[in-house]
Amino acid sequence: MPSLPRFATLSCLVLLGIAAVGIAQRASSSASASPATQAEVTARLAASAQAVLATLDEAGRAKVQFPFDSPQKTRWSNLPSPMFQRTGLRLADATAAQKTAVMALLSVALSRDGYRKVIEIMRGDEMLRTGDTSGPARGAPNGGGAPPDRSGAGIAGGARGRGRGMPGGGGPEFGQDQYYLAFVGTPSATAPWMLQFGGHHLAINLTLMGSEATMAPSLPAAQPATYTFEGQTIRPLGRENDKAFGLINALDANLQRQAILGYRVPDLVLGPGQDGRSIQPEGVKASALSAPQQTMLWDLVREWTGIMNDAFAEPRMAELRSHLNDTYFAWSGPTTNGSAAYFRVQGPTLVIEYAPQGTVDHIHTIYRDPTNDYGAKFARR
Amino acid sequence: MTTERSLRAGRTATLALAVLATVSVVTDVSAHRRDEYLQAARISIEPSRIEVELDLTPGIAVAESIIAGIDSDRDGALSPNEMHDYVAQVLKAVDLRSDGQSLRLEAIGWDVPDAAALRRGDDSIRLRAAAPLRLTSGSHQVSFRNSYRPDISVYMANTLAPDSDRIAVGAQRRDPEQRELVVDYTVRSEAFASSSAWKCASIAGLLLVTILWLLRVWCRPACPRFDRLDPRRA
Repeated sequence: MPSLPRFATLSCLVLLGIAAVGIAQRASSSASASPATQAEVTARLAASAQAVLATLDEAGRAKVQFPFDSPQKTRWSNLPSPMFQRTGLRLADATAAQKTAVMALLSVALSRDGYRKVIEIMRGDEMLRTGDTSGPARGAPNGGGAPPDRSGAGIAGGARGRGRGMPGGGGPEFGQDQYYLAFVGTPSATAPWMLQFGGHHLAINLTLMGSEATMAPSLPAAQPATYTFEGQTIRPLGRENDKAFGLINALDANLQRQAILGYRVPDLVLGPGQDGRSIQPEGVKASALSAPQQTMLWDLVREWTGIMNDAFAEPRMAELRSHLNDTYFAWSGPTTNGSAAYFRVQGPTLVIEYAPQGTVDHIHTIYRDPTNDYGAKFARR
Repeated sequence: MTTERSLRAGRTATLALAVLATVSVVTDVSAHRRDEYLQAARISIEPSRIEVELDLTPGIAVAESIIAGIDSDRDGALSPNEMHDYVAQVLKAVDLRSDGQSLRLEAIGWDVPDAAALRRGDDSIRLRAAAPLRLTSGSHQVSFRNSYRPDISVYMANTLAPDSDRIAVGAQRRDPEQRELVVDYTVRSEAFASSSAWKCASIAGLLLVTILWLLRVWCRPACPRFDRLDPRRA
């Protein structure tokens, strides 16, 4: 064989090899949970969403359903209503059967931990409504209490009524009934649609397309960040807080120096309205961390990705781990647990921010995928 | 007799009471920003310009003083002319430099919510400004300093990830309050960017030619030649 063809054969094999490795990596990152399982969950979700729709009359369905490309997608906020005007089915206006159907839908969409978190955030808002925010010492690094069951008990039959408000009734509405459900697109096992659930300090935006799902952007927040419910201390975002403090304190002085930003961060950088945007990353590179520290980092990230049903969270975690070399952990504030400190985890397809609002008892967080907010990546395929 | 002055005084008193009521009700139950003016800047470095986005969010306890600073005719509404003047006032307090040379920021747009939303502390004034720049390839530095209303403000300043593959952002330095941000960055030549594209195209072309050649070599003994399938040659 002449040397040129041999070179060409070799080049071709090398290039094909590179392509094969790329395809294999992509496959492993996107399908560590079987696609059938994800598709199955999407089908169950679509059925649960249809069950909610079946409890509504025509006017109710018109109120809760929006076209997939409508501006409803981006209609979410950390603010209470009506400071931010939400649309959809408000729990306060729902019958007991409708509320039960909504909570059943959420129990399919979310993992056990995710469901607990959502319920605890809503109950926290109920504490704001009643004014009963008594709890243990703020920021105490202790357990979050037993998770609520997934029946929606205490929410489905929750207290009705307006929250505290300004004279004339135009003030903020707090309470576990002030949360809204909306479907953007028609719930389907295959076509793209979005489940939107939110209110004060909560925005869950779950976009589904067949076996694929993204929860970006979502905003779990909490105020009060610590309260007592049925004799138990509840900290909706307590694990996020404790895991982050655990990680920053696990770093040696050199790594801490890289992670800690020399300036105060008073709020979320990429909060509501910053869809699809990305800032120049800062902090310590995840690849510089030891294996146990990396495990702590992914465990921290899991607190956000794991809000979704496990079938969707697992492939997302695998994808994020594949970006180890381009993932950063940044910190601003004291490193003693119980203090108000900001942190950020950022990678090519991830932004997580945790921003105390001047106090440890009022936390805003954001979870984003700048490449796939509202399933933009799915739509491009 | 009701004079214009007494009417105005009455309106002011009513407004003050409403603000007081808002502050007292909202702040005791939901500690959203109240006595601070949050100024969040995002800086975008592009090959031909630097763009600055500034989100200005007054807390409910300081909103009235901000609105008073904009609403020069005291009619309670924020007119385009008043906003034009206010934006100019804000930008005057922003110092933007490229490699030490002062740049002139020109407003390219702004969104302003109604005054009521600003008073409630639940919306922001969003403004965009840009300064043209002729960048040569190599290392550069941009510095941003926001000195607007330091008496009541908290600041944020961040660099957006560049859209252009010609820009590579390096080190960023800030003061502890984020009033100042200094960014080192590198501009690659257009030739570099296009040479990268050429490299990709060349590799793809080589791959295609190689695959075609291999198919021809491997199929030669096994595949019937087209001319043998020609019925006229049968």
